[in-house]
Amino acid sequence: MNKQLLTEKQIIVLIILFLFGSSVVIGIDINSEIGQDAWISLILSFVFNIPLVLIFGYIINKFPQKNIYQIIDILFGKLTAKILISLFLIHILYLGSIVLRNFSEYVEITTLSETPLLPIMMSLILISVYLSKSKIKTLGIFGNIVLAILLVTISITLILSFSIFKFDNIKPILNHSINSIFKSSFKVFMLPFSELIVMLGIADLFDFKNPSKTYLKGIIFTGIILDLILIRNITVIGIPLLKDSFFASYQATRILQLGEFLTRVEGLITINFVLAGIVKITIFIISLSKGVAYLTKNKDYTKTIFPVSLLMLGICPFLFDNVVDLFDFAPIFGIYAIPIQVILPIIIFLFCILKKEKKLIYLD
Amino acid sequence: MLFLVVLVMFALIIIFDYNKIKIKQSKKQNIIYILLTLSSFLLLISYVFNFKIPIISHVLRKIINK
Repeated sequence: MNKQLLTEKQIIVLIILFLFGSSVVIGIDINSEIGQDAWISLILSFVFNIPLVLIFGYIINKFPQKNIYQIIDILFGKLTAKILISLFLIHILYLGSIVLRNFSEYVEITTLSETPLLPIMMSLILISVYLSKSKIKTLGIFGNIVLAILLVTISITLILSFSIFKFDNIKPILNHSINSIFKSSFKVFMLPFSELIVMLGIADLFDFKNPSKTYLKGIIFTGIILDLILIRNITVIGIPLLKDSFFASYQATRILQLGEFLTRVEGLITINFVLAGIVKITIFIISLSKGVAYLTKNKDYTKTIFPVSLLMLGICPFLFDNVVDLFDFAPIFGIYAIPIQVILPIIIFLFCILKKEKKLIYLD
Repeated sequence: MLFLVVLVMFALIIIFDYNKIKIKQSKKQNIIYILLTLSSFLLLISYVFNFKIPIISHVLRKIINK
């Protein structure tokens, strides 16, 4: 086992944190459209994600310890590869900026309401740059600690909310048309689940025997956690209140308390989101810097971390007018993301099969 | 605010990229990285001075609506 690579367990943890980090966004979107059936839509979006994840697994299996940039280069030739890699990089730069903006907005609205956005964004990017500059093992260990904190806080909020669960809030089940449920689950699939393609950018740092199985374990575990959180939110505060809140989990945990001894539990949710957000932004930065290093033929990707992080930070303030604009834009971004997040991996997958038929050897 | 931005950015460069000076990189690579860094500085400064740069989400929305 290579000590500089991420182990299977660490990869699963990073997948969970990567997906969990975006639940800040998805909570509102599915609740606003299909109400109490949101949990069904969430399950469906995970089912949609399974074929895509199997494709990712197949690609990684075919090219062990190679990232998406190297794979594209091997499969498509130099010129096409450069164009595709550039498009992919622009996409994840933009996506990374959106994620950074989401977390900054979250912190500003819930905790630091008097602080301007820029210092919050700077602080988040500063930690992520430090993590990216450290060895990848550091991120793996950090991920383990964050997941432990996350599971403990989720368990605490679930236990505390047992007494105020109103199961009538999730009834009537399947009250909305199948069409609208499918539509909503597709939106959730596009943002954030298909975002997992970003992790292919750091696939050369993975050390696993069965990539598909690892990815599946990651998304199933995330699915269970997110669905539990969603059901908790619906049963605790109900759909009308959820529709009016931008950050559903935060709103749901605000009313939790244990006598007069333990109050203000929502602080734990903020810790969760920020920690998971840092891991997610770090993965974006590493993936992006690896791409830029590959394009500029630099073997050491740590040299490009700083310029790309700064650019991510620079784009951030110009993405949206305000938080309302941010949530309005999320479903539209799903459409814009289809070519890179869904079509590109399918093309790579098809090329892998075609080249296999021609009996070409692409590994040294 | 601008002072804070510039100060933090320079601190970041010194903290994280001091080793860039030690290790030789090709001219082309250096130019690309400097351009990336400068463009982000310009973006941040324009944000601090409230210069109007078309908001990306609006532009994309227009493209998709067409």
